[in-house]
Amino acid sequence: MKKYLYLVVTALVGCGVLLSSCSDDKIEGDSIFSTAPVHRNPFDQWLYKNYTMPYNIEFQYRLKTEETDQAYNFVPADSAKSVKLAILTKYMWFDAYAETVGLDFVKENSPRIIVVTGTPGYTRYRTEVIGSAEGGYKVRLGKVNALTDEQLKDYGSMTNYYFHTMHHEFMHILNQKKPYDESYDNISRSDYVSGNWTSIPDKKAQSMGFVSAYSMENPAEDIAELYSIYVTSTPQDWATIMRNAGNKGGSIINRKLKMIREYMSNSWNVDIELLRNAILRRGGKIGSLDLNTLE
Amino acid sequence: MDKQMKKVYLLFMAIMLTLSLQSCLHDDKTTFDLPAADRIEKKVADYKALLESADDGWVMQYYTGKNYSYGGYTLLLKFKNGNVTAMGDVKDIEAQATSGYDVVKDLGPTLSFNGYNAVIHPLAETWLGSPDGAQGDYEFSILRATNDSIFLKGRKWHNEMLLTRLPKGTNWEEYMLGLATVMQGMNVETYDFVLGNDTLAQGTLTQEVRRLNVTIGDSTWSMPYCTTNTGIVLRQPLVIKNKKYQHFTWNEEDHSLTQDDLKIIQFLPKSHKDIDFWIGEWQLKTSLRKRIRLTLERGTVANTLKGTLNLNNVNYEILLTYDPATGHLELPGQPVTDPTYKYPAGILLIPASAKEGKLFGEGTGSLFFTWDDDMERAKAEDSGQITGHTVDSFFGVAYGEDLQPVTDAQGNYVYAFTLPNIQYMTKIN
Repeated sequence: MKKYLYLVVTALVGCGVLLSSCSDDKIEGDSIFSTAPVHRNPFDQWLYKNYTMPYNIEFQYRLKTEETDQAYNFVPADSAKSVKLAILTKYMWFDAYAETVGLDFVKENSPRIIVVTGTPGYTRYRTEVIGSAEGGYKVRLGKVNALTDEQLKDYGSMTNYYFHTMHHEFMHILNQKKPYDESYDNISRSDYVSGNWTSIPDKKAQSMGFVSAYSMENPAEDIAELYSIYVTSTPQDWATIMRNAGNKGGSIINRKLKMIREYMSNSWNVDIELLRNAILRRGGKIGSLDLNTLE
Repeated sequence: MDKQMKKVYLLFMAIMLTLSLQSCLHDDKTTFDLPAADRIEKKVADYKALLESADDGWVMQYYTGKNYSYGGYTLLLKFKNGNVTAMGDVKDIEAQATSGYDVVKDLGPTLSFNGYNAVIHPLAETWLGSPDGAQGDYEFSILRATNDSIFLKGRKWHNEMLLTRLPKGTNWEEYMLGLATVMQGMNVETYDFVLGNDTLAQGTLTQEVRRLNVTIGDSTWSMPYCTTNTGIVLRQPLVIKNKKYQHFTWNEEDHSLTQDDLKIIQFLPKSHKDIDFWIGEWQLKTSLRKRIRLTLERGTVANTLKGTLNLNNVNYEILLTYDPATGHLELPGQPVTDPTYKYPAGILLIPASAKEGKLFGEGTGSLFFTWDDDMERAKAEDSGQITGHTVDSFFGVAYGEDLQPVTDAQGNYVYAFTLPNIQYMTKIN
């Protein structure tokens, strides 16, 4: 018994020594995080009031290379043109969702960062990538330096350049958070062609039940394309697509659209007809929007 | 305690003792006074203050192209309250632009021209078919600095560049005027490299690409240079007989660049002629047996000549361009007004090959006129723009009211005039 006592005592002493500490370790110095006031110019102040506060979105108009896709070489966007695009993007995109679905929906689901670049991404194949999205949290809007005042007032070309991309990427984000009904993938299952869509004209794609050739890449792109084109198309433009689609293509598109309508309504409580009305109403007004004053 | 237990006990004690040998020494000295985060913060603030401390700004020697493979540019930069004002020899040397800039902590302090500046950013711009553009940077790691020099390295293309404080009282407009004078003087690309009285070699300093190429002895140099208000700065020094030459002063009198005993003198071959030499009356030699007179006078645009072509007693007005680098003239295809009003939509002067029996388009193909001092005439030569073909003639294709070429009954083009087999031209007075 005694021999065990030795062991126990030794062990206790040993532990005591190990557990001793140098008790005068204090937190020294100031925090490494600066508390100096941030200097904001009028545009920064406007962004704080119109992007950061209501939507928790950062609109980056000062370019940082590490925030962009390294496959491309960009230059910064002209600051005056960035102001105009910021006003327009808020009006056409975030405000349209906030109006029809609510502020919280935008805060919870919209991308966190908007990056603007002066040039588009030019590829080695003589093509340009105007807008893109990364991982659902960042959207890049490019070619800003080439924007003219006429273009900024033209709903059609702004939709082609930017608004379509925004809604398209937004659909991907929503799909990642709540999956859509898998049976959507079966509607055109045998007609997806992955990368080969580039050789198919839009009209041909429409006759096969796709709203654009890019929709034929895969079901995820199909649903994002159909959603974004539907909510941004004027009734006339949509009628043209449906005319190109014909009876067969048209009925496929309508079946898909019905599923999107249900998905948005059931999963997100979004009435896409209401949303589309808001977008088109706003689109009709962009010609008279004051893009030169920061309020 | 049996033997076995004793061994275990001793081993246990040994371990415990070793573990308990920790110390509480409190003299762990740090190498730096401030934590890493504070240090970089301070560096950033210091660099910003240094940049903004130059009242008349800085001059930047800017190099494009990976491994300095393209040209050198000069930028004047003034930093104030988070904005940078710039002038430079990139596009319009008279233009000035202001935009935002910042010194940020990235992988070390970084000078970032993060707002678009119409003077600076064209160097980094890309375009359709050229995804890398001129391979220029707009974000620079700050490597080190003294009060008057800041050493930078481009983030993307990795070229090292230098910012030098401009002397107090430097007038930017005057600086750029000086630079323009040097540029204008250096419009000929061949130079003799002369050390003392020895001509070492002939090399080139080519304005269009802003690069020097020369082989002296066993050493070959190919590098960009930057133009300054007084001369040029080479990216690296030329080393001749263990002496370094890098900063050259332009001498307008004898069109040379000098540093100490090294002189780089513009070389003008006999075929190089001043623009004024070309002004006057010339006679064009073609395979036609008639007199064709060409009267040349200065055009409204710099380095252009207005030509009046007298053929069959009609005067046609054409445009020629003068190349200051080579001193020769170029005749390109072009639309020509028909003074007789016979062809309402005018005439299209099109380069052609009489030898091959071919007409080319208006856009490419031209003839050079180069002075031949031995023959005392300006010989006509194909400019080599159309690969595999040789331009030796010009045809004036007539255009009708329907804006289509006029054709005859056989469906052949109708020519207002032709200049087949242009060989040379001689000066009449």
